[in-house]
Order: sequence, then structure tokens, then C-alpha cells
Amino acid sequence: MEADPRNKANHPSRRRMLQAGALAAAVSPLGRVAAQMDESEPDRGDQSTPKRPWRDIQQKDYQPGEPSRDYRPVFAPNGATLPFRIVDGVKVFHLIAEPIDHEVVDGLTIKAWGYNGRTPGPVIEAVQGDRVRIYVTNRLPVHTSVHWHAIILPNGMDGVGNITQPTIKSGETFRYEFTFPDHGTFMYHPHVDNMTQEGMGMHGIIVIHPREPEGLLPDRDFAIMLHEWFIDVGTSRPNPLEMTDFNVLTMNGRAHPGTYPLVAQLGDRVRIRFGNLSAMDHHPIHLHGYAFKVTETDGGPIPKEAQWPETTVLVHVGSTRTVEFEADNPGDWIMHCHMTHHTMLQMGHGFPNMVGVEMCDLDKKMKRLLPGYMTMGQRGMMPMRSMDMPVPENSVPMLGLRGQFGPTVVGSMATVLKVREQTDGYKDPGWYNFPDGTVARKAHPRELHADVIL
Amino acid sequence: MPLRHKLTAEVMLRYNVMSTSPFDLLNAKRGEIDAGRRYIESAERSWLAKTELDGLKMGVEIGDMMRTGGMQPMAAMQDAHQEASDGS
Repeated sequence: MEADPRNKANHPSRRRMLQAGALAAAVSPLGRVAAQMDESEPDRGDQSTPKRPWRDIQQKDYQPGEPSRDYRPVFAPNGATLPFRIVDGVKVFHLIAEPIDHEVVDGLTIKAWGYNGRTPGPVIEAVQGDRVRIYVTNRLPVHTSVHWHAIILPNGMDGVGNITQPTIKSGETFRYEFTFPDHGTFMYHPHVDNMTQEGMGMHGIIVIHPREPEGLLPDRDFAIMLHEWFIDVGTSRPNPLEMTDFNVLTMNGRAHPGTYPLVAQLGDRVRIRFGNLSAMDHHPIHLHGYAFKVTETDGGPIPKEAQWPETTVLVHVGSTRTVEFEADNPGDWIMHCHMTHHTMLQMGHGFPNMVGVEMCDLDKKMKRLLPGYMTMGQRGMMPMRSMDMPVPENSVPMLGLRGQFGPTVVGSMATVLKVREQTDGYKDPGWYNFPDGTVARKAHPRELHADVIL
Repeated sequence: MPLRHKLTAEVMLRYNVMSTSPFDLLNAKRGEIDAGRRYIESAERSWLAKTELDGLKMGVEIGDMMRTGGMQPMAAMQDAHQEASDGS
């Protein structure tokens, strides 16, 4: 007969540690912090003092955190923050799951599903220790639920359809109530037919600010949700059945060049929170001009000693990453997923490889048959955009940002960090005004000669 | 025919955005040309049949007349006609 694993709890040294842990939890204002300080072995099998940070935090009586007083609100470019009202010390939110018409970028509008008229849904923002009541109304034609991704809460509030609760049927409104035990960046999404519902755009970010912040608050705090879609050219319905061939990749539901820039003033402490609820892809997000530190995941803050510098942060599917840096390098710095196909908008992936193919008089012969024909792809994607050929309705193939020096094909999962000496809040300052002589340019023959470049 | 024409135009748009290959475009055009050819052949058969019918109403085997190049009495051509049918 196997030994009862619970007997482990009776081991004297272990018991002492657990008691110490329980004591720490009792004296600390914040349960999770205390639980992390308890460096005992995993309390597998322990039933006497289980780790339940939500219970510890529920016992505290915190006043609902107020924006500006208790925290500096996050800014979700192209996004929104869910409003709340306070009823008897509880923050009350209302999420509405519904079909929406959503503009991904000028020229492409899709029939998606989202929350409160948008995808991603509005940011739910609160303070550690806040008691919240979140009503969820289902206006979709299908059952749904809301899972509070990475929030440590009582099992019955976890939002997993038919496992921790009945599903929310069309027309019904469900009520979730819990306390946020930890600060950090989390997410919400349905847990009923996740593939379809998340694929159709249902997800959002949750930002929980610390009750007692350590150090200085960031001057700019951005929240960006990453997502991917397959929207065939000429259609408006995202195809959630797609598993590999994604052709529209978005930051907060918008594809570059439709993404609103991240604006910061020189010297600002900048924090960017990323969440990724793409169907199948992780996104290595690369920021030009800066090295940052990854300071948090959705599992909690990373201790200072364990943070290392990066210029690309890999945001896995189903995770959040928070990076911080000081905006000390002025200019227009693009920030994009470094998977090159993820910065191509509505790229067709089934095209034959034409790079380097000599066409001879093929075009002439083809034009006899098909007057509008032009061979494409021999010189990559750049020429395609400048040809101004007719394209299917409601499509943005290979659309890219037009920079101050000309067109690009940088689209989809990209945006621009604009750092300026002076800013007007988050208002787009336009293109960077380069100081004289600081831009790469064509070399002069005299310079080539002088440097012996032949 | 109009549908095929529209189809080629749509495939052309998809080709323009490199969403479909030049071979798909050529296939679409071939489909359109085939449809045109089938239309012409159907029209031809229809007119021939009508002409034959009009001839029969007048007591003349126009089908045989077209095959042999001259007008002949109907009874004399019966056997020739039978042969032609068997051979086909």
C-alpha cells in the first residue's frame, strides 16, 4: 500500500517551515509576496496550510484603487480601458461578448467577435487587492465563458465552460466576483471552443497595479495584445480553422500601418506590457534603438538580480511579458515581430518562387491572353506595392507604412516608438526631424576615393 | 460565359496580390476560353439541327446534302445516311 502523501506534512522540519510561512502570510499585507518568501519545498500533498493567496488577500479590507491616486493608468494604443463603478467597496465591470465589425487597417474591415464593440476587448485595470464583480453578457450566437488567465483565484471563478461553471448561453449574463491577489499583466479570454472564439478575436488584457509600488512609477505604461488571423483577400470573415497560414498579425487588433505609435518623452521611464493570444505563434518582439529588461511575466515580477538585458522579447502564446527601459535615445524606432512573415500584410504564401527568374518576352505573350498581366515576384515584394494594380475589395495585400523617405512593405505586427524632446501627451508627433548630417546617405565619389572604397 | 469571364477577372485580382499563382490564372483563362469554345460548338450544333429540321419539313435531307455537297432525292440517300450513322 502506498504511503499517504499527506503524511509528508507531519515531517517536523517541513512543518516548522510551513508554520513560518503561514505566519509570514498573516503579518504581510500581501499574501502572494509572503508565499514567495516561503522557500519551502513544493507543498504537494499538503492539506493543512495550502497556498491560497486569493484567500489571504480576501481577508484584507482594501479600499478600491483609484486612477491617478493609486496608479498611473496604462495606455493601450488603438485600445480602450473598461470603465467601472464602485458599489459598496466593490469595483463593478460589465463585459459584453458580441459580434463586431472591426477595422484592422484602413482598407480592411472584418466581421469578428469581441468585447464591448472591440477586439481585443477593453483593458481591465485594477489595483492589487481590489474586490471586483464582473458581469459578462453573451450577445454571441454561441455559448461562451470568460477565463481570467493567470489570475490566482478560487476554482469556481476560473471561467472554464462546463468544468468550473455552466457555459454562458446566448442572451445570458453571468456574474464573476473575486479579489485580485497579485499585481502584473494578465489576460482574459473565453474557455468554450477557444480555437474558434479566440480566433475570432475574443481576448483582452488585465493590468493589476501594485498596492504598494516599489521604486518609481513608469512615466509611460503601454499595454499591447498580440494576435494573428487568416483573412483571405477579398473576404471579411477571419478563418479560425487556419492552423499555419496566418496573413494578418495585429497589435491591439490593428495591423501596421494602422497601429498608433508609442509616444515617449526623452528621459521617460517606459514600460510596455505584451500579451499573446495568437492561435499558433510566439512573437519575438524587437525594439530598435534600445536595450530593455524583461521585468515581469504573468507569473509575477522577475527579481532584479535575475533580469538580463534584451532587445527582443519572446512573447509566447498564452503568456505576458513586461519590459522596461529609459527613453534616452530620440527618434522613430520601429518595434516589430522579428518573424519576417509576421510583418507582411495579407501575403499570399502559395505563390511560386519567382526571385531571379528572367521573364524575356513572357509578359508580352501573356498580355495577348490577359491584357492586365504583369509578372511579379522576380524582385521580391517591394515592386508589387508601387505598381498600383487593382486588388480585391476589402484587402490590403503587402500594404506597408509609407515613411518620410518612401514606401515600405513593413506591415502587420509592427509599430513605431517615437521618442522626442517634447511631447504633447500621447499625441503623434509626426516623423522625426533628424539633426543635420545624421542620416545615412549615398556616398560621394570623393569620400569613396578618400577611404579607398573602389 | 459571363460567369467564366468574371471568374478570370477575380483570379486576376488575386494574382495581382500574389495570392494565387500565374498557373491558376492561366487555368482560369483556359476555362474561360473552353467555355467560349463550348458555346460556339453548341451554337453550331444548334443551328445545324435547326437547319436539318427545316429541311426535313421541306422533304430534304440537308444533313446529307451538307456531307455530300449536293441535293439528292431523299429515298436514294437513305442507305448512305445509315452508313454514316453506323460509322459514327
